[in-house]
Amino acid sequence: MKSADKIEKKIKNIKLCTRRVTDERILGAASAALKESTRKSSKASSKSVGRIIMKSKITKFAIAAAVMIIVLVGLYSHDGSLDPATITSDRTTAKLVPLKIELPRPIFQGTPKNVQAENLDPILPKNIPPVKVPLGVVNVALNKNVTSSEEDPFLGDLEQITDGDKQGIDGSYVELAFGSQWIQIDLEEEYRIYAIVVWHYHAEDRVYHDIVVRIDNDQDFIDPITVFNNDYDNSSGFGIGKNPQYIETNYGRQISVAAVQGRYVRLYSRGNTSNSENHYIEVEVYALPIK
Amino acid sequence: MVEDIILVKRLRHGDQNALRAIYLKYKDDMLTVAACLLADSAEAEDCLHDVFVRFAANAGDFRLRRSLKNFLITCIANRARDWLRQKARQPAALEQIPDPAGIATDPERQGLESEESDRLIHALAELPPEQREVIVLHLQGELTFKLIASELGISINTVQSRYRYGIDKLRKLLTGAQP
Repeated sequence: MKSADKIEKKIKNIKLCTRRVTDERILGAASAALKESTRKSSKASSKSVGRIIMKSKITKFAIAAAVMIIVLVGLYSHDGSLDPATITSDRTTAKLVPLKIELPRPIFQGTPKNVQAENLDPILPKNIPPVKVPLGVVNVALNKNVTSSEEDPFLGDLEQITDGDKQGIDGSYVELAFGSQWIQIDLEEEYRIYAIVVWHYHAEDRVYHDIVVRIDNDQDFIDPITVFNNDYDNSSGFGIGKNPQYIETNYGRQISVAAVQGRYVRLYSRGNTSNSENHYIEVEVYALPIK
Repeated sequence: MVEDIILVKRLRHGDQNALRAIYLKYKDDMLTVAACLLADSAEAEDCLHDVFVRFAANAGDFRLRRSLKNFLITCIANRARDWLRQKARQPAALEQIPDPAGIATDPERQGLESEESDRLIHALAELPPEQREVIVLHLQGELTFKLIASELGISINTVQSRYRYGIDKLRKLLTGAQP
């Protein structure tokens, strides 16, 4: 066989598969888009039927009267409790848009460090496309209560993690002890979560190890759902993570979440390439209320 | 083909099961074409996302005039072309050539486990976009040269020469052979 034929055959044989989380995300969005499309087309077709009927002079008056009666009956029989949340939710799930976040200023670092880490994400943060979220999501973690595996952080206060300040300057971050540590945000009610964004520390190039992000409805995380795990060697014991390690920058890390429902968000880490401590500048949780 | 006609008919009436069936039937083909064209797993997934959601959003007006697979693959190619043009216009994006190794080193990207696939996608990324597009659409998307020419608005001779030059360059890249 000629080498060109072989190459053609090899290209034909490339077969890639989607990830389950991608399937769920795409099917969810496509399903909502189809619903919206069907709703619009049925509205349009009923309008055109209406036009044909109304062209008939004989039926014009009778049908107009009938429509008015139906509308009046409908108005009076309605209990008036039209749920705006329902309408908003239908609209918002119909279209996914790139998540827009306000980025903190990058910190001038001088000579960049040569960071060595296993399974490092080769894509520069500025080239990673923003995660897609339904219209209307908001940061529900803002000013919410934060607890951690340590009662008293080395530096800063836990409330800084949700205070909206993402700057990388001294005084903006919280430092927890060495080893595997976690912080937990109580969203105060159950939400449907679509994205989590975290800034650990972006004043220099460094990689935080064993980042695991979980969501649960129980504050003790009895039955959590893991939405991010880059512990490639299972050193923290949550299983081997498939997400890449990454270098901290002012872009933070956007984690796409497939509409997981929960009230508590917990983030783990286990030191970094510069030292053994764990740091957090800000965590944002983008979500919609549950109907 | 008959199955697709039935699925599309059901889809036009808002049948969610038909939408799911179409997605499951063609998602991997669409992702493969997107990844071969964009050489970036995250962008390939986003491309698949955009195309399929738009397809669902316009399902009510959709008329199946040819193979559904060809239609979806062509949509992926159009979206990928837009994406690449957009990136080329952004000065920041020029600093980093799309890195196909990103696909291989990210273990979360299933399907890209094979080293052979990585090597091929890497080599495809080295080709000029117009040659890559013709090769991928013909070999992966199974589109005829005639159809590709019609979709791209160019002559069939141009399509064939792009294909031939592209394959020659790929052979050189993969085997080190002189064209």
